[in-house]
Amino acid sequence: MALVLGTIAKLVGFNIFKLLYYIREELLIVLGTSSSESALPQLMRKLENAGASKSVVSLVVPTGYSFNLDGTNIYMTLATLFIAQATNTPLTLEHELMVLGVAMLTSKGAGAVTGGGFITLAATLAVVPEIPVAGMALILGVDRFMSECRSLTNFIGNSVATLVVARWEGELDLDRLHAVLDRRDVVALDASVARA
Amino acid sequence: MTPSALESLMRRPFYKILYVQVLLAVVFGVVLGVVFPHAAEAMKPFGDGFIKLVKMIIAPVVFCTVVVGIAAMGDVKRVGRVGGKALLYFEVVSSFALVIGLIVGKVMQPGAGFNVDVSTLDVKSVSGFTNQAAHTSTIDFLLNIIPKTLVGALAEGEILQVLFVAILTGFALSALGPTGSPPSAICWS
Repeated sequence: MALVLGTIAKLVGFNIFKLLYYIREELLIVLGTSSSESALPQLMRKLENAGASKSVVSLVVPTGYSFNLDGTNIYMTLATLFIAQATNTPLTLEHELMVLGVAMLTSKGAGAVTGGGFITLAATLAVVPEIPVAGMALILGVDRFMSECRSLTNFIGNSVATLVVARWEGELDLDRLHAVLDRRDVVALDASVARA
Repeated sequence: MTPSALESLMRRPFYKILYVQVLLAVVFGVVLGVVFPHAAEAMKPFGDGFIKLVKMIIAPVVFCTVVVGIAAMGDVKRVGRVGGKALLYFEVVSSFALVIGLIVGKVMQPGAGFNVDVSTLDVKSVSGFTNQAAHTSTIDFLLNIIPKTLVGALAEGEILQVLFVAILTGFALSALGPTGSPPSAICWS
């Protein structure tokens, strides 16, 4: 996924690692709380500060938070395969495609529910009755850690998404983005970002 | 580091920076968990409280930013275009993510060799999740985006509902034109 997001970032014209460094505070807060919504307001301010227009940021970040869950999606297919393999359940290509299609739908609401990733996984597993749902007990124990990874990936994916849409819409100030990511001096939009 | 950034760092002692505090808390939690597991478990309410405090303000923040975002665009067509592009991008990248998970699972075979006997698994621990999952069909999910009452969305803090109400409010305000600016001004502040 880092590769995919990195490539997308490159196409838009910025370095993904510089972006990660720029939003390091938010990432740590997400890591600490394992919930990507905890740093949502700060992320929006920072993306605006990085040159994306206010209107794009305020539309894309909140919607992406419900609809753009890269981490949850990776987890969904990976966990399904894991449970199938661990319980020696053979899966046909048809099954896999079915999981893919259903996960696409079920993951949409995951952000809105607490422990959402796990519930949506249950909903996804339900479409392939061959996979024993009880297998979920295998990964329940590590779900807290998985949840951290999901939130972080979701969060990064969302930051990239905002910059992509802003660029696409011609509302991304590339000079400003580079200046901010290179930690050059810029006139901060508001005091709270300047301090951060 | 730029002079001004350095200056601002000097002005604020490091222990007052939020992410330093979070990091310290994480380290402290791990140490406590190793040394006094029971005491550490008893600390859980503090963490839960912190997250609840943050989540408390999410709904109004999302509501206001979306309303302002739409009102600031002024043009309903532009809102639609940005929304469309965003959704298109989301779908493409989400599919990528799903396929990556699938390929990694195929190649790495993370579950191979476990040979778990399903009957020995504790089904009770997951039954809560599966029940909840069974109760959410696609239609229910879509209908659930519409809140019971206008303010109900904000009161419940269901983020999709908040988003829905905010988008409608944003459209309404921008359709009102100049008359709609006083309420948007409130959201700006």
